[in-house]
Amino acid sequence: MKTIFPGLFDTYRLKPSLDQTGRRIVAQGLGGARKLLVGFVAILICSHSAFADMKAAERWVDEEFKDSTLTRAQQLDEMKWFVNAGKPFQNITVRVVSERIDTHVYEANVLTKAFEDITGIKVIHEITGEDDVVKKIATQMSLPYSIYDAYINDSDLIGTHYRYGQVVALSDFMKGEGKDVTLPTLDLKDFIGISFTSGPDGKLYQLPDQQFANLYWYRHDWFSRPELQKKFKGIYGYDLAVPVNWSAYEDIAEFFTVHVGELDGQTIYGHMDYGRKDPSLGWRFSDAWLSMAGAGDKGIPNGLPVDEWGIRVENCSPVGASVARGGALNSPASVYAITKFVEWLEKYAPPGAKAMNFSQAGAVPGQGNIAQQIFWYTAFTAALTNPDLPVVNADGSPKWRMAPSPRGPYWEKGMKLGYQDAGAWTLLKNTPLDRKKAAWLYAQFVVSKTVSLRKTLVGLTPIRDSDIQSAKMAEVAHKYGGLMEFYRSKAREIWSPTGTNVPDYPKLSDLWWKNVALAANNNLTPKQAMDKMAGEMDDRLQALADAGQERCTPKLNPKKDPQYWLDQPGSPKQKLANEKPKGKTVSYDDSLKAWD
Amino acid sequence: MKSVFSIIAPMICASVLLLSPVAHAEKYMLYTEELPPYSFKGGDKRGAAIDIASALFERSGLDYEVKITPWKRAYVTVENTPNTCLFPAQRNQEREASFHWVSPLYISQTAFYGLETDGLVIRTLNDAKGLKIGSYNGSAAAEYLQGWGHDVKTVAHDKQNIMKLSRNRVDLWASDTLSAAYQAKKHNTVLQRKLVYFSTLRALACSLDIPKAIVDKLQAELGSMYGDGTIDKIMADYRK
Repeated sequence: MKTIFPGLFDTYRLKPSLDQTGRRIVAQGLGGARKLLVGFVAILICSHSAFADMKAAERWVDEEFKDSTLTRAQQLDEMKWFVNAGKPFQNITVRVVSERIDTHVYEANVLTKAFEDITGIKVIHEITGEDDVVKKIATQMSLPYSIYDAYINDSDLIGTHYRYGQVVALSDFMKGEGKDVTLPTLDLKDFIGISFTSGPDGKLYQLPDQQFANLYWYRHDWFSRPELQKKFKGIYGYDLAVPVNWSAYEDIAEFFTVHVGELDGQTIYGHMDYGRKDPSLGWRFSDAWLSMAGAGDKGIPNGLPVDEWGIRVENCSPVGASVARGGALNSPASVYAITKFVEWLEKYAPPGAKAMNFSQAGAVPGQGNIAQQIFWYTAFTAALTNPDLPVVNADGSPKWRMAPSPRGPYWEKGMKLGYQDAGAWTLLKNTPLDRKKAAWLYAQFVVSKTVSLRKTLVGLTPIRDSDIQSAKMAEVAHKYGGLMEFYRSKAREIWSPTGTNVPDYPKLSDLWWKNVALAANNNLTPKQAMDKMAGEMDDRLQALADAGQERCTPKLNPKKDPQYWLDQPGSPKQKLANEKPKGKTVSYDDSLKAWD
Repeated sequence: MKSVFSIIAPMICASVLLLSPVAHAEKYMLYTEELPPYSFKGGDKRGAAIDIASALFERSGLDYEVKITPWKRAYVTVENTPNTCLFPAQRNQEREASFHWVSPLYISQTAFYGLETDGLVIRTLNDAKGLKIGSYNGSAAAEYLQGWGHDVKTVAHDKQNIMKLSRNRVDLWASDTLSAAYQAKKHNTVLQRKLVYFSTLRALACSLDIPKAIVDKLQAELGSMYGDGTIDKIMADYRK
């Protein structure tokens, strides 16, 4: 490791109000010491620059980035480009922020060091809660300050970024003022999430850094037990296997919680979820729950004209969320989706689940008493392959599998079927150009082909097709319970993030947790909660329209008799006479084929 | 409901600041802790956070009173008492549902500090693992670091940490950068800033009974305080 004192390079802040005056705090009367220190700093800076070169690149390539889809020579060529491109930014300390998942922890603790050693540019990669990331980027967008030089911001905000015009259009940046710092081997076509991070104008606004999906998770070992298979078939008349529809999911939930109850001496449950009034409850719904029930329209990635938030868009402008304005937020399908969430949480989840938030609930399946979970983030894959857990076999292979999410009765072919998180590099226009360029170099470094396969193996959040199709990934795929099978399939396109119908994610998203919590805690019925939410969503859309956006501003439809819209083709859809068709299941192998 | 006056100790009342013109029927009690240079108990200066909160309420035409009290007491009071606010609070997911938020009053940064002779190289948060890190009870910095598995040694008052660091009883001090600068100057101590590892939006957290219209008004006024340079000016005054 190089002997540098990062604190001494820790200059930061562009605006006087945010400046941290002086890197060292020297008490009065220590003028001589200060002079000595200045000299010391100069020596360190010189020695630092001397190390930021190809020698460091070779060391990192040989020790950390051995797994790559590039040859060693290609990796070193790529690193040589970074060494040269970084030269003008030696005195900059880049500050970026992202949410807390394994991939970003690896970036913050390892890749910042590699980048600094190779380019000489110091990066501080802060890690915080996703909610905080969103608040910080919204704050920077609303104030005349550059808080961070770049954000890894979920592409759920693409509709926000496109409309406000405060985010750098990367397509333009790469051809224009950022041309000299754009990696020739970036290979945008290799990124699997580019469609999620592009605006309706076709321009790229964000560069994917990590992706994970929300899939069905189940205990393959329990489902494979002959005595349980026999018992299930005896009660429900079909095979205990991967549920294709919500009816089967519900039957399996009931089976394990009510009819099995105890397995190998422990109480078990057929379902896991959470219901605490907390912002994380909102993700459970804004992350495509209504689309899984089938509330939106057909059309990939999000459904047009009505998306999975139930917002109708006409000519790129949101026109309403309530059924009375042509939206689907309080439509029969949406009410059904919330009803099932509340019912399953009460009937089939462990006691206490209702009082949990996302983080608390996320750890529960790994404890070994949950049979299945309809809404499970693959970002937990690495955590659930920990050999110390009761859900992992002695040889390290998982006892569980992930499979395509089952769909609700309103779902039709051609609709999205789940959520995919695409944390993506986002540059704001109010960041000074030199800092923007230095941050863009770091962003490209952590997604470069030299680095990305190794990063994918650590965090299991793939972004490049070349990594997914690599020989290395084929070699290790069996360890990850179906994750790579998902990413090799076309399903990765119909599990999509929030899309461009949502005009201001930070200003609208709290409505989810505030209203769904009312239903989850029985303060309101699901219908009452969704009626309330739809009205509030319309009001917020109108407020956005009044405040104005740079483009595609909401223009609300006049209210009509909801029946008018329910009678039209597509979403919002009429209530089905039978919302519980017969349960259908398929084998694990067949469920994977269904992805194609 | 218990009156705020019966909750606050008489000794604290001595430092209460009565500052506002009466322009609204309600009087808002604003709670903060003693945290130089963000809030001082007595003395010529009130502190950066108090100056910002006071200016915000004055410009919004709202009657208010600032009370300095231990943080945990302030927190519980605002959770349970109408027409009260707490500052400077770290807005996070766990707290989001408990208050109305006006944010950010200012943006702060937290850093690891050490001694220049300690030879410690801290390039990332992870590099501080295994080291003894000083912080204070109930601080967001301590909570954050403990969440990463760091060995955090807390004391009642942050100012004690500078002495602990000087005497090698902790390896690093995790502190707000402005507070550290103030304490270093006060104690005539040379610190080495190792790594500024976290930025925080500091907010005004208000009791849920306060009407949304008032919260919106405060938020809009705060925006204008950034726009016209008021926040810059106040913060610059405390960096001198």
